[in-house]
Amino acid sequence: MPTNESSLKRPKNFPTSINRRTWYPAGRPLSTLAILYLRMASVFTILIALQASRARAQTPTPSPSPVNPCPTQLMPGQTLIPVPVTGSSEGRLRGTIILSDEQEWMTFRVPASAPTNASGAQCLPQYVRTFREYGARPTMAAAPYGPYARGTYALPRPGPTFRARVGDLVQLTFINQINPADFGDSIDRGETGRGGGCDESSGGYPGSDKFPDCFHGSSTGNIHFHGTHTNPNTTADNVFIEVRPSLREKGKPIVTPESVAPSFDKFFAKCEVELSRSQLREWPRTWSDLPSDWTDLQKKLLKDYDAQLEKNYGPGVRKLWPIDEAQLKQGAWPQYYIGSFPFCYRLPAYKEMKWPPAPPAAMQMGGAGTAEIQMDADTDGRPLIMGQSPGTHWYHAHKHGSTAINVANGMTGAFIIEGQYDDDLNNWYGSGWTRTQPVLVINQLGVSPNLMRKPASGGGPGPGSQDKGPDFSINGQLKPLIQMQPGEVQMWRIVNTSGRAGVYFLGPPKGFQWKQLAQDGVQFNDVNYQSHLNRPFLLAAGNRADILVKAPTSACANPSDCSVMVKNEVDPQDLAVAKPLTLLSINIAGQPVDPKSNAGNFIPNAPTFPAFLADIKKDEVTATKQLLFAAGPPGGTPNPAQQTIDGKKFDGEVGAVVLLNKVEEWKIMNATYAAPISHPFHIHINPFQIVEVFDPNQPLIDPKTGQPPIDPKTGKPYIDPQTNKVATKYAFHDQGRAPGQCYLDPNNPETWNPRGSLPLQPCNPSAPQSNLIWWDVFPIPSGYAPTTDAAGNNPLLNSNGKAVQVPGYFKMRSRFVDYAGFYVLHCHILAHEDRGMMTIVEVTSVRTPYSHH
Amino acid sequence: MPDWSIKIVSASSGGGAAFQPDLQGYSQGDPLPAQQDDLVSWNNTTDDTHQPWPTDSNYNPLSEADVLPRGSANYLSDPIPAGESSRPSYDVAQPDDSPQTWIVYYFCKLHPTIETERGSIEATIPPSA
Repeated sequence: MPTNESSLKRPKNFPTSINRRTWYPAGRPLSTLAILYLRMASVFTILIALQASRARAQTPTPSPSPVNPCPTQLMPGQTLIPVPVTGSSEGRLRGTIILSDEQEWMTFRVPASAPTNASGAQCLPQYVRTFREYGARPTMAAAPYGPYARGTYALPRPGPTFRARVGDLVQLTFINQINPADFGDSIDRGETGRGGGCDESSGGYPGSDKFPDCFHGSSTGNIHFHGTHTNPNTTADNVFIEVRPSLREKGKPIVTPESVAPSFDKFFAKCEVELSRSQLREWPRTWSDLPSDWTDLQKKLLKDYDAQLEKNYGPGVRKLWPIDEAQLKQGAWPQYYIGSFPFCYRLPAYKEMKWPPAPPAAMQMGGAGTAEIQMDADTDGRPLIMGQSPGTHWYHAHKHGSTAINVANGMTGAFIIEGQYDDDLNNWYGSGWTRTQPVLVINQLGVSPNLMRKPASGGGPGPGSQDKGPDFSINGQLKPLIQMQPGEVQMWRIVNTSGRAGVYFLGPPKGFQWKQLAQDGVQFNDVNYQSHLNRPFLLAAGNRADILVKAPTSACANPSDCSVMVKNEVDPQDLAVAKPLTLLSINIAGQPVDPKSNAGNFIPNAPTFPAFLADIKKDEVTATKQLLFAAGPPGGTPNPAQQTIDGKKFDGEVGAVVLLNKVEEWKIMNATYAAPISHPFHIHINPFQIVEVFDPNQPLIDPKTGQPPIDPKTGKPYIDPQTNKVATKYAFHDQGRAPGQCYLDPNNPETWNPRGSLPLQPCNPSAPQSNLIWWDVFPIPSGYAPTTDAAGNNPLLNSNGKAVQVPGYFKMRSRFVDYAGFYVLHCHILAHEDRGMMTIVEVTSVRTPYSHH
Repeated sequence: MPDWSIKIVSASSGGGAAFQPDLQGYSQGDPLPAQQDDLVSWNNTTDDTHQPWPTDSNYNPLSEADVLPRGSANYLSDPIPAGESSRPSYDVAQPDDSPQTWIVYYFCKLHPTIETERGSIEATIPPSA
């Protein structure tokens, strides 16, 4: 299979190139219409230039492409459009999410090389899969001129923002009405028994990727509720379910919100009764808990789907209903559905004032439970240990093999879970204030991944790729504008839903201040809140942050002073070469805010810190584990780097077993060396705290200057005599180290940690052991393979003659509490997840039937 | 970079099918505007199987030697059953002499005599500034 330029053959009679572009049928004379078109194009060009000039007044980098221009709404400097909200009422978040597809204006960087602030964009109408609240209509827009100006297409937008409160029930009807025919390979070819099951392109994909760890099946959907502490099973945060698109009759989907409403209404009513029995109650537990009219219909639809497969592809197809049937016989929750699925679960509220919680009154008294919530035999009277953290969470598609494509299409949204955190902020800033504040859903919107396209002739991304991924958008807009009053304090809830890159915030713009309130949907305690003033911060793919932002009291002297600048990175080493990019701009206008008022000041103390977020102490830890993430050598299509955990790609096996309600400390390592990548580690259901980080590539910094220490002999940064490169924090030689360098013994991996080889030089790591921050995504520092020449060709060898390769790592502690079941951990660079960098965690409640008393 | 869809629809005249870029304002037989290394797929909405196959500018088919094996730069799609979409996705390849713009002509290999079953992709290299 040809995969590069050199192998392309051009037949003798291959069509000749054309010398000009024609956007009307070839051969047609230049008609009056065409002349009019050209005149209009000129007018539009002037209008665009004027628009660009207006935009330039607000943001420094408007760059409309003259080739395929963007609708005005997607030009830089447009006011940020809020995303519609689906809110809870009377303790229930109810809604209907339609997974469908539409043609949207998607932006593509021009040129497609690594982004700079001078990069432009072209806009092209593309079919994408979307999450939409039932009944929501997209905003339509047209390009001013060009080949795609004949029609109007939707503007990109994330799924609706969910807004609920801790303790609420979530009851969502999920409908999949994607038309797979709009997306070439997007149906689940694995079921056809042909072609290996992976998406294919004549650009060379899938190459060495093998089903199921390849891009495939992107018309199938589900939802992961990222950051929720809830039940991972059945109808809750269960990412193993796969909802195929509705079957169609006469081109229309037969599964609709109306068709499932009678069944789902019954189910939600019963679910509410069942889940009201206790905070920890899990229901449904078996398929028979669901309305039989819906399960009977699912059985029929699955059989119809299987019959259609067999009709089209003959015997040998992989039928879905027999798989569900076998799972049901095993007492498991079935995996496959057609067209619809009901989500129902609780966001548990921790109501104790202390931690750990006391056993429930029912257990102590042997009675019927508290007046508020009845006891539930299913939970054995276990108390809720953690509870849902109020904060900025999110949701996204999570079907293995299509997560990257679906998330890039925009199948993401914010999930704001309110609680005392919001109450305290509103007590300071005013009633309902938090609901008026900007929610920023960042994404790298795009279509098929770079890997599906032909590589460049010399390897690496080809001309159809966007280096470092698509540009960052916010709520679907590029470089939008946020309005602030002089001296105003706003709260920005920022979610990086990108499937690839981290967003490194360089710090507040000139004259602004910001103070971080929360990380990954978990609020800071007051110590961390007070210490996080005006700090740069990284949001890796999947991370969130809440920040309070204070505007200066006067308008910015220069537009660039009012821009929030970021860098695109997947590893800290990228920051040295990545160009600063405008993420958004701020327009300061209107009535100045009284500097003495609450509205003009940061809240003095962090909101009340829930008791269940107490630090995990070392003596709580009952077990340890190690996991090794690794990416093979970079290859590109057709043999891209392979992404593994503990040497394996995802195969459905359990990679870690944990006992319920135990605390574990895990060492998460990264053996990725060439093309450094700090894989963002994510685990579902429970957040974790970082207790140690070892980045073997850590630069050597003089704490007095914040810069590399200067060698007085040369007046330049110290050069490491062994690697012949600028000295880094860690050295593999015990003589001639630069001041501050730590010694690691190349022959003793036990010394490869932040403490180094203690007898020679203690490194005095200063990782805090209290007031730890909670995360649910954390980048694993990439590995270090030192070389002995500046060009990096000669590996440093140990005494056995083997190349020294030092994995980076972090250690985290997590409480695996409240919910047993199967869920996943994975890299949040979603193409890595789809291609195998994922494994299953089983949390099991071990009870034996035996007793010795 | 972009992905495009071309619908295979019942021709507005005659009894055959026609190729229509799935873009607003585009008609049967219109060329699809695309760029180098865009992915193109065909969505067969008819009741027959079709197979896009590259041709010269006179719609004479390229030889199998110039197109096969499957997945080669000039290979457009497997036969597409009724109601399904194409596989593999076609990566718009730039001809060897690296023109700035070029046209990929194709027809339905299974119905080569039906004149409506002809189409084209008008390709350019991606803009660089």
